[in-house]
Amino acid sequence: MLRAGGVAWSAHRLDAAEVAGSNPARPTLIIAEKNDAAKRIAFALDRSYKKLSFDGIPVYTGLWNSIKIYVIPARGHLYTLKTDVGDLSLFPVLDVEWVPVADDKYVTKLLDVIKKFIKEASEIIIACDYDIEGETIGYNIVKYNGGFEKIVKRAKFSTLTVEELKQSFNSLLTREKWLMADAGRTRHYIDFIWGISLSRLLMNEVRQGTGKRLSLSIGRVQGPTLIEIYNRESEINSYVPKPYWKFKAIGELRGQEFELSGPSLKSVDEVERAKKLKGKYGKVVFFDKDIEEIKPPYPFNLSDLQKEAYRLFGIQPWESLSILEKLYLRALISYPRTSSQKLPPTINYRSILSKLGQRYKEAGNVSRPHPVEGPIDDPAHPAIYPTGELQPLTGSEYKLYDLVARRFISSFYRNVRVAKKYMKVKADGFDLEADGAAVIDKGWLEVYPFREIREKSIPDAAVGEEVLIKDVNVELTFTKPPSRYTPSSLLEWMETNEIGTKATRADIIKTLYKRGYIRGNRIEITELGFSVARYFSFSQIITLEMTRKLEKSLENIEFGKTYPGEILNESARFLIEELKNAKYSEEMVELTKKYLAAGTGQSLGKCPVCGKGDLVLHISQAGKRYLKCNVCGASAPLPRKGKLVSAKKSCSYCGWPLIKRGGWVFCPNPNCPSSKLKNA
Amino acid sequence: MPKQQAKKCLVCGSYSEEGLLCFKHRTAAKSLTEGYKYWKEAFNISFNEYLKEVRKRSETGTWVKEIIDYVITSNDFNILLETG
Ligand SMILES: [Zn+2]
Repeated sequence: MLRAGGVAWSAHRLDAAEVAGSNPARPTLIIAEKNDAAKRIAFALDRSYKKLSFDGIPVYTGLWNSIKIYVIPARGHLYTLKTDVGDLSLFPVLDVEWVPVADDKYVTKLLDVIKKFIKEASEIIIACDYDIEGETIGYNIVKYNGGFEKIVKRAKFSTLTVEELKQSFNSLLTREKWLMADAGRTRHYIDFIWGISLSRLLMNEVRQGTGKRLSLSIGRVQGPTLIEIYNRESEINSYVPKPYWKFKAIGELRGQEFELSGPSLKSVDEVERAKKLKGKYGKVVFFDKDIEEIKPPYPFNLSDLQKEAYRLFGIQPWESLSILEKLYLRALISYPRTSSQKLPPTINYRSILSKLGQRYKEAGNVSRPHPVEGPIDDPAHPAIYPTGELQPLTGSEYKLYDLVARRFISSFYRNVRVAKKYMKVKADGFDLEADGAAVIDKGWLEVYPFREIREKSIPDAAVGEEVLIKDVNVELTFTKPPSRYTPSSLLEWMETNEIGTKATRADIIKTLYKRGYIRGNRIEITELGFSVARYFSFSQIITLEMTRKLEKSLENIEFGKTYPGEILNESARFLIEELKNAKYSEEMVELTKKYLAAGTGQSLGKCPVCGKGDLVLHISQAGKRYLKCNVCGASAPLPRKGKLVSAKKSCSYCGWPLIKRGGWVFCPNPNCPSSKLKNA
Repeated sequence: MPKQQAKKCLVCGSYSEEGLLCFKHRTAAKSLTEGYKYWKEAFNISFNEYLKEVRKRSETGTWVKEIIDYVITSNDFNILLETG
């Protein structure tokens, strides 16, 4: 008998008496992904379930179809990859194995408890999230604790409602092959060997060139993402604007004034010609009008929802995923990690709409029997939809729930109808255009008011009619550099280029921030990020094409079109070959040296201006060093050379933190009275 | 480990793989020389005036501003041909 710490465990020994109860059959073990999910599953299967505790590990128990069940929640991944190749100068690292997550007492206890229950059970049900990560979590737990000697089944559900859970457990899936787990385990394996090998290559380069050990890392999907940010940074920093003139005119026809827009003008000569149109007549050369029907937007998949949450509320993609996860665990919405834009009839549209009707009166006004759907499907889950259960919500949770509910209702709504007009006028060799739009039926905008339709009135016209140009307006303008990525637009770029997965993209961006390669909401690359990206931008190891190809292969495993072994071999061969070709880069080493010498990124004291932020050392593109507060932006120049450290004292004149360079202590505040004293 | 003669960028002093400009300022020089034709067409101005006007614009990239500063103070226009 297992004794993990004693007390609680012995209080609930899994002895014959308890297992038997009213039923002599051996129990069924259900592995859930998280505690809240475990509780909901236990409740759905037996309303009078009980919570037991084994040395702090919660286990939910009850009777289901007269069989004793135990539901144990995992806590994310309990197994992780590890290598015994400790020598950092050795790479590629291909020797890797799955081991329990180290240094986590809870996981150790949890695995002890699970092992015990697996031994007692006659049947095991993996009820983790129905996707690659969820299946990998469940599969590893079963595999490394002797579970595959028992009958192992899979529960598939997209919401944690009692109804769906019951249905799911009454029609469990049996598996010949665990393809999702194969795909997940292979992805983890490949990410691990690539990550560790590329990082070691990078660190080795720096150590050879500088003699310093700097902990640097880069991942398989982070690589091309960082290179994209680097390319954008280069475009912005080397941007030269082009001048042009915006050209607008006011026309008059059939007694109505309206706006016309002309082509952009490239020179002062053209501007002079355009100005002379004032008071002259142009001729209508084309006119058309039509009613435009705008269908409701597609039901949400994860990335569409993340983009919308950022656009409307500024919620970052990783924040929205974590909020959606909570809403899912409270059975308010369906599983959020989905690519699907489709809603199958099995979710029972009418029942959900009628429940939502208690909060959203618009749910009673729908006119389509079936929702409008998008083209993207996901075999594992439908689009994100509200279950119809209502609970009081506040803040961001309310905002996201409301968005999901409104989007769902709107997909059953009638079209928005807009009366459109389009006119083309020729005047003295210039082509002028006018657009008109008027909403005649708000349609789905009544329930989903997050789209703007700009109304503009122009007169009807007939070809050949004359338009008086009453006024001409030209405005000198300059082209703008491409805009910086935001986490949301970067996520969209990753999606368009098919790298990463819907579940991992947001985290990959977050990791780039954590490693100090990028900063700010309008993303800037740091000096360190720049040198790492520049190094890899030369090699063939991290290319967008290679990353995308590997993503496709990993996807094929899930659909049984290829085998893990094949992909692993191919990927390892490529890695070995490319690492052989990796060239020592003097430039990367020099950039990193500069970074090291500058001490960039360290805080040299609290900001006296706002009292909240830290004064962080930065180096400009031109190599000048300065302090900048990471909260209020207060800044001060610094000497160009020498190691700078905090003197751990404040200036007695102005309160700024004093800084030490060698034996010299100085106040960095450019307006400090002490510097004036010195100069006096 | 290959030890080469250290080459430095005339604008910022950074290591440069080849020539007199580092990667950043080489890229900036290229887009600066390519941009002139649009400004000449628009305002019919000289290259010198062009540099001063571009330097003033907020849309202009940092590396471009840095190389303009260098060209104007050193009067070294030839450096802009270093775009190889
Ligand atoms: Zn330079």
